[in-house]
Amino acid sequence: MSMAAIIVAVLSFVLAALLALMMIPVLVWLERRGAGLMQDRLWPNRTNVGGFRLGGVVQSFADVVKLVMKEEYYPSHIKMGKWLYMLAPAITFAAALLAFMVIPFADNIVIDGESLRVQALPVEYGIFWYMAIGAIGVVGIVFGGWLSHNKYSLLGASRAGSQMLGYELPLGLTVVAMLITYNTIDFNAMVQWQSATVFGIFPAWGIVVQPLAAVIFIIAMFAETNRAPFSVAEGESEIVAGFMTEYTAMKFAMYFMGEYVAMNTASAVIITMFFGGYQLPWVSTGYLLENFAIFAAVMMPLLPIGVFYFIRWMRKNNRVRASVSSDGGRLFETKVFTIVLTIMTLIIEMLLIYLILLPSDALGTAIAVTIFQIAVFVVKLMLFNLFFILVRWTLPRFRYDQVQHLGWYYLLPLSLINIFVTALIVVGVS
Amino acid sequence: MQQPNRLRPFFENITFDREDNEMIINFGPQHPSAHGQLRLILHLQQEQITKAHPDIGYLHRGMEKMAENMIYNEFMPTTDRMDYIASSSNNYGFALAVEKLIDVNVPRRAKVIRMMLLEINRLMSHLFWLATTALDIGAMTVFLYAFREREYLMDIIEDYCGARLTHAAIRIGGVPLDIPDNFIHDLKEFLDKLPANIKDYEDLLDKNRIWLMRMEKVGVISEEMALSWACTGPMLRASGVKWDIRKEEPYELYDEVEFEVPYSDKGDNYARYKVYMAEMRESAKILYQTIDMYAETVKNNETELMAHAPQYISAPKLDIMTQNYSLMQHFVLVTQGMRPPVGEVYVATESPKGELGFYINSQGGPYPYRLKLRAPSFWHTGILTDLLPGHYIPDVVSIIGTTNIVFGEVDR
Repeated sequence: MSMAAIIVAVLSFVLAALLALMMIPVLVWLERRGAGLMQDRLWPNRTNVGGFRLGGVVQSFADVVKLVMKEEYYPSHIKMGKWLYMLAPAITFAAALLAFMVIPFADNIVIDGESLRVQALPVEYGIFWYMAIGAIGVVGIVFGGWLSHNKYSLLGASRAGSQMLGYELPLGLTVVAMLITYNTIDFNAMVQWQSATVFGIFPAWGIVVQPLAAVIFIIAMFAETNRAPFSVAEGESEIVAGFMTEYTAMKFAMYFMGEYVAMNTASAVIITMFFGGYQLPWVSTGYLLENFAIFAAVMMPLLPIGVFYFIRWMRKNNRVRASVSSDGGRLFETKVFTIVLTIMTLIIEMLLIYLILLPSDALGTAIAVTIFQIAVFVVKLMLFNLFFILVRWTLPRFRYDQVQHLGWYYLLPLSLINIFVTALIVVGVS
Repeated sequence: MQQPNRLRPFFENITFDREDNEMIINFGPQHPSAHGQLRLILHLQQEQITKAHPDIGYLHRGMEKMAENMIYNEFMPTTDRMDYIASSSNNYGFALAVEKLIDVNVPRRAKVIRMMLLEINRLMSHLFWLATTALDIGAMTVFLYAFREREYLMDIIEDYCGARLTHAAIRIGGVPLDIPDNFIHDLKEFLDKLPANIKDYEDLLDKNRIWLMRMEKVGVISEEMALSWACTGPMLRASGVKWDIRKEEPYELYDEVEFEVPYSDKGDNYARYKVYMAEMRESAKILYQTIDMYAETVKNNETELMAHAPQYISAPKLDIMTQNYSLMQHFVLVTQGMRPPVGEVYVATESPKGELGFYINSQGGPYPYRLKLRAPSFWHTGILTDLLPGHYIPDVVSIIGTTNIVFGEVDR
């Protein structure tokens, strides 16, 4: 194993951990901010560390600190299996986290003729890993609900379990259809497949090639992650808090964060399978490698303009009313961010100039392309997370039996038909 | 196994530890969607309810007994605590009953102001209903939208009487205050915005497949069932009986205003939802008309706000301050209270939740001999016994939501 391979592996692992774990506070913030925007109200925006509010993201960290510091409380009626009761949230959390580890953040980076995966776990059976590990999450929920010795928890756990059964099938069958289309189980190969075009116009994204599968997959993903409108396992207005009723402090936080990690993972899988993963439409990695100088030249003027407008927007908004005597360090925060952003922009600009002037530097271009693709991936990931959040705050909740009905009576037959049609077309084309 | 307790014969004898496949859960009184202090004992087969038993009394304050030890004016703020979502409606029901008892005529201007308050309260109550029901079904955005509008109305009421929840804004024989200067302006502004807001809610819910699935053919109350369980108000009207006391036995100035009585013959949750939405529109219509009526009283220079009945009702403040006899009377009325003639009266008004009735039996003393409240929510709680079996747990939530029960009123 060469030095470069080790570095890439370590960096991808760090990146995956960051994207999965650091995304939690950001997503919690995004949830509150999105809800605030939709519901015509504010979001938590006062918490700060030395004046740094980060637009409210600091609140999420404060919440975690609060939950960690809370008393470790166990309901006295939990006699048997207390260790499993404690372990259950960790199972859910770990399953969601592990499932995220097979997502490719960029195309294989070629260093000295060696093709290296930008994936935390460099495995080739990505989708199977996801299906296997992701489904374990519900085990934690069922354990938690069963061992809570609470009728509401039990109802929540049974709902979660049977909902998982009802939706894992259409999910799996959709994946089968996608496997027939892509002819691979490797996430990275799927994304590479999607960089082609259909009829020479549309990008060959999964959603264009297999629209029905995409819709079923996304719906099933909503159910898998227990997000609204399928949040029947928690159903806070019906069964109090479902399987989480008896959980407090960090044990509760594990479930809570696990839900966000699962949502993040689901978004990542959806964009990898149906929305071209880390690729821009019409731009394959090979094309990007050859013509990165053009991209750099386009980005060079756009980046400072974007940063300039962002700084202006920040200066305008990151302040308090004139009538408030102390601004709580907001001016200072704006100043620091202005300087940091300016310096970062300058550094990126210099790197871009370097890449434009020296297009023959293969290693530099490869690294730049990888970073570019990671950036595209993160943007897509955030957009899809935002979609999850918007849906949650728009729709009411299904009734439990209606959830099952939808899964078994509509999604399952549809996904079967989808496999059939896909197989016919694939055979016909070949 | 539990041993039955002969001394506490009713609910305590439920065997929660079951050998068979039935699960019994306590739905409330501390449940997020039990709307206050409702305790439902549900027998479940999986998710389906086989038997439901509402258990009330967790908010019982003995109001009817309290009334027997209070002079009539003292009881007025207590009525606020019944249906605290629309407290002026209770104030009004009580005031009207006592006015019938002592037979006074309320000045027109006071009547107009009372109508305004009543309809504002109806709007507040219906907005609150929409908010909580949507929240129970999971549409949190509608909840916050409706609360935003309700907030405007609370501000308007606060402008009038200084209170936001327990108004005590109506007196026996009239109203204590004229409306403030900006009241009409604010109200008009709100009413002009209201149709767009209602449209917002309907855009979010009306054609929403999930909302329809949760509401349609759920909690169907047939006409006979509604009548035999003594349903009133929107619950009755959604079951196909076009009965509105404001139309049938007009009180106040309801015979002078034009409004429709929305009704539906479906009887399910969705029908009730539509009735509530339509009633909000009708309330807005009535409010527009009362604004014109108020302008008319201003034009005709009718400034009296309290009925003139020196035996029962204090004279205006100016008279009390300047005339000896008025002051003496005021003193007697405040310290001893009014003494209505011997007799009994039952007066029903159309509160936002249904027929709100006050039965007062007076023996000529300053305290009522007996005061009985007929609160609509009480009867709507009873119907849950019949309505819930066969439904699923999530339906319990939506049915409790659409019955619009408020526990201040049920337990009294």
